[in-house]
Amino acid sequence: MRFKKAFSLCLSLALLAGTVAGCANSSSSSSEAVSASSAAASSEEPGIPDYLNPVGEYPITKELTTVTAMVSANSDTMSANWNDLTAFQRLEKKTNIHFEFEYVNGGTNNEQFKTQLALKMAGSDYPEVILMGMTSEQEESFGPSGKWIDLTNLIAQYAPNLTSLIESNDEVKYGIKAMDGKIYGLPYYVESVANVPTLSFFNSEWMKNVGITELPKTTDDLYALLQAFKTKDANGNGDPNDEIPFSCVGVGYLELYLQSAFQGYAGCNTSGQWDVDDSGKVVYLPQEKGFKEYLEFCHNMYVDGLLDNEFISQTSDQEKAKVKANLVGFYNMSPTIVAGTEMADQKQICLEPLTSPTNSKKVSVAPINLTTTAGVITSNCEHPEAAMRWFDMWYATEDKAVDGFWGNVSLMGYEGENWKYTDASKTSYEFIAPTTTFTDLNKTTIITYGLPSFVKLTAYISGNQLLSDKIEESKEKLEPYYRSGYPAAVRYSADEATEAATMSNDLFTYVRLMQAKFITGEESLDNFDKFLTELDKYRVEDLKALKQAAYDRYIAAKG
Amino acid sequence: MSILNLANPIAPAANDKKLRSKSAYKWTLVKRNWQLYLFVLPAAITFILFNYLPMYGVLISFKSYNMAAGIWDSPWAEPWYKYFKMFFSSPWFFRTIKNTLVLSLYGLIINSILPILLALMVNEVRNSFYKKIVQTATYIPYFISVVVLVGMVNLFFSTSTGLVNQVIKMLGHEPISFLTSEPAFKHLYVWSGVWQGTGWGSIIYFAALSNVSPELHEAATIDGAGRLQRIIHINIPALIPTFIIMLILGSGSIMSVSYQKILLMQNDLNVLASEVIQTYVYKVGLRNSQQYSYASAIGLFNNVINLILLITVNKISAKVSDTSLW
Amino acid sequence: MVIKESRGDKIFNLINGAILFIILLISVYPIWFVLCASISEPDLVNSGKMLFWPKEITFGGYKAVFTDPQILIGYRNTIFYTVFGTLINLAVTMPAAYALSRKDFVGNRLITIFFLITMFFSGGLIPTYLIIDKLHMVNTIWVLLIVYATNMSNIILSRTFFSNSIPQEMQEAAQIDGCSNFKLFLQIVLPLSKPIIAVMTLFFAIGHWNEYFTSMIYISNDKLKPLQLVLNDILVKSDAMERLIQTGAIDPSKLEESLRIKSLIRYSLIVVASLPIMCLYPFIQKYFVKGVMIGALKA
Repeated sequence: MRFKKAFSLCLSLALLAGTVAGCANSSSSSSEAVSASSAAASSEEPGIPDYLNPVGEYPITKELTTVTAMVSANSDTMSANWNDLTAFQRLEKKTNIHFEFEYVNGGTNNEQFKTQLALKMAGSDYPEVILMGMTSEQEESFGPSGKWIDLTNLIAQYAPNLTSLIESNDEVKYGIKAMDGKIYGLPYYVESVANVPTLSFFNSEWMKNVGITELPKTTDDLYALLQAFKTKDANGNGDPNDEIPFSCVGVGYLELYLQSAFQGYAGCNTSGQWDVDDSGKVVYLPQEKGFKEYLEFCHNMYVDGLLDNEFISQTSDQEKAKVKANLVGFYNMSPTIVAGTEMADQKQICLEPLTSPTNSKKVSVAPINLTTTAGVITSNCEHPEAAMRWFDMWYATEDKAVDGFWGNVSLMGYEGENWKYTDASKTSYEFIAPTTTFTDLNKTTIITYGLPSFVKLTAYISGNQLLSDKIEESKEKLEPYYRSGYPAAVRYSADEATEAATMSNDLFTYVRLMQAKFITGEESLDNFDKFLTELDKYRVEDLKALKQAAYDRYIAAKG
Repeated sequence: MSILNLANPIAPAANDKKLRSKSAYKWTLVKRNWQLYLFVLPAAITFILFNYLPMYGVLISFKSYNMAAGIWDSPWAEPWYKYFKMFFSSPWFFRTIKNTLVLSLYGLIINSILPILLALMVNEVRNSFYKKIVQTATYIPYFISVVVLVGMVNLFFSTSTGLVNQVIKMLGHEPISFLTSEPAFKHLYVWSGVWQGTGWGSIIYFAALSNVSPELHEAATIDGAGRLQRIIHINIPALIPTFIIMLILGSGSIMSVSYQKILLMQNDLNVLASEVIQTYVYKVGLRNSQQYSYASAIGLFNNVINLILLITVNKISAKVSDTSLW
Repeated sequence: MVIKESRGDKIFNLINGAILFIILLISVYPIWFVLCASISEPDLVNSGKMLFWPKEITFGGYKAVFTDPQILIGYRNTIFYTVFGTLINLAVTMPAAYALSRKDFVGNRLITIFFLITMFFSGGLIPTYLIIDKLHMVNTIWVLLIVYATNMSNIILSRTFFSNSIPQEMQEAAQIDGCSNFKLFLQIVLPLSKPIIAVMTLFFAIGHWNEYFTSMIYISNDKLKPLQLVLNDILVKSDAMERLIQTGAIDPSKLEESLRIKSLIRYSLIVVASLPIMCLYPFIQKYFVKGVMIGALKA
């Protein structure tokens, strides 16, 4: 009895206290709505504000203007005050805009920044501009409420470079549009020759040592090669028994390398097993033809000792140690990790996408170039037009550079000062001392971690044979077969996002678990059909319908 | 036990034998002990400011929280139990609860008993230098970050290069894949925690033991009691109140297994044994997509269960022993 | 008062000592491993080849950690927070625990429950942040010193100690003598409570030393950051590098070097962060002295 009285007393105290606190909060949130609408109104003005110089004229603002910016940073990018960096200093001199940066450490998976962002935006005292570390999901929340302003008109009026990027590139054009058709976040778009998602590299010496000369083209060829690795002395150290023909970290990597060979889709792993068939229908790959065969193949690999029996529990550090000791045939990492070992002089090659009895289409997973929401302007911004003009400078192509500043500078620094091409073909570049690494750039010149910009990199760093091998091999063997899975830029409403997050997670955990069990043999493949029917328990059809609806919306917007 | 029974406190007027009315009596106590209210005041202020005032956040569980609108302006969930229902109807619901309970209870029992044993053993050491060394050594593992701890577990139990499997191979058997084994997970989880936390956990018992009067031991020895007998009849009773309190407190956090360590130890094969409520919440509601309402609802559910468990255990404890939280 | 040890005693001591020795080795091994790993070649550590002594000694990890000037600032701040924070913790927790241990404290049960509820229900991060923001405590030292000034677990543990170790008769006797509660607490109860004060000091101090989450949320001013936050910043640096690998433009050999260092750094960080605090316990331990009660009872 006493306890009940005490408990209800405490609870009512809490609610009372909460209501008091709450009233204070709700009054502040209503004032935000007011300032949001006034900011939105000013961005729709067709005439140029007084303080601003017209597009193409510099400085951007007639008087020195200050803009507060919150930025997602890390230890590398926080080691210098950004305003001390060369690029920012020059920009400020040229544009008359001074930024006051507030640095927030991103943390693992950027979680710390996400939390800080949510906290800051919950109040009313948020900065004028936010850079890096945001997601398109947040756009759907902060955009419609007005806290992040609609940039569509600003871009049309004050950002010619960005406009031409948008018009010429569908991925960008549709990727940055929110569900209500407006644009709330600026993109970071990188086309780089060195961006290769799928890596199936191995040491060519191993092939020589086992006497095989032809590169595998089908999964059966691959199997034969792996068996040769296992039984013969592939690494040439005299011991035929210490080789691990194929190693990776977790089931995800098997999905990445092998699954597409059996199914002809690229949605495995990157889109979480979702892809779209030629008729526009969304498919869930474990339900498609070839999945069982892929599992059988991996299972045979495991049983025959061709697959590292620790592949599920080992960490990438552990695998790396094995690779560097020349014990692994196919490793799923960049070949550059063998730098400094005896393997560095041996050519690392990769395979073309394989075909199999169930699939004759060669497919490799296309890289994703677009990062959305790299920059936003908030409703607290007093000079959004000036900010937009400043941002536009980062989307300039080389011919539109202003005093040597154009999009690529955001990744490489200034040509001629920080780097230069090594030859006339412009296929490789090198840094100019004292700049020797990207870390140096972040300390002296510019922040290279993803400020909203357009980077087109057709050269790669010279002097590193392993890296140029990787790039050449990937370009030759993988690029012709690029395919994207279910588009990453598709947007969901808040409710859809919750449903999707829950169902996806439940389904994903189950499917990964079953893959692991089938492959290691803990579950017999005779039960594969049972597995398929179990998927209904995990609401795969509901999720498919949700994704189909979102995809149809995305396609419809493309027109 | 009866020492603490305050049924007969000092009467203000020592000669007054009349029965006073209960509330008048209480008021006398309040007036006499007014300073005690000052004693609890700082703590109370802290709790009110930083725990009670923000408690309206509990409402997030019943609303479709919109980051931009804040807690008050976010719409109510349709229906109000939407996020709870979402959790209850997930195919992983029972599995996560089962795993949480199993890991928690297993850990609670082991971690309640072992620190006592350790404290008792160390207490018996005569040489004070050796005693200090052992104590310091046993509590050092507490400072190893969980990332390194799990890294070490991985290294030791690795199928190919792990020490444990090397020994198994030497004995002529096939190596066992401990790290992916479902049944082995709970043992790896709990005993690595024992390795790390027993020394630290024994500290509070050590403090309690220091209250045992040496005279009691001398008297018992003179009476012919052996070492073990003395430990059982003198030392252990001194530790029981603390033990019970720790047990009760522990039962109040059974549903709250920390996700960090499990996430590090989890892989695709052991997930049936290692997926607990907290890792589930982290993956669905925090890692990729921020689902505040969902995460908050599950958290509230957790806390309610914890509270019910605590009340139950406390009631049992009050009946069975004299020690309870309230 | 030396009582001769019987033969049974001697055997007991031997077995006890032996078991404890094994426990000692098992307990020390993790930190010994970390120490060795912090100066060994990471590939050997990761392949399980380094087990009992360092191999291919390298000081790269320590170099990376100590060349960061933030480390000294972090150390200084943490020492400040630990010392003053613990004092505040004790000043808030001990009196409250004592008051709750008194059965003649009217409203005892109500207040206990009031406090207990805070262990179970919390509004979550966002409302708490908003409150602290309104109090203008964000990004100040006060958020680390005051917000978690106490917690119910420690109050309960201390209360248990007071209830079971300070005899009722003594308190009654003092009150008959006209002793006020203040005097009673300060001059009689506290001196007898050295063990629990020692334990609470240790608990709170370690809590402050390991403090990471609260400062991560509320402290962005570099000058105020505690050590764990600084150390974690260093660790996160290499995670961010791995993200850059997607654009492929990063110089891979330098990346390899930094990833190697990351392994080393992890271990060095533990040593740097924990060594000082590990040395704290021996000083606290002398307060766990038997027989504090004897004199008091006799009086």
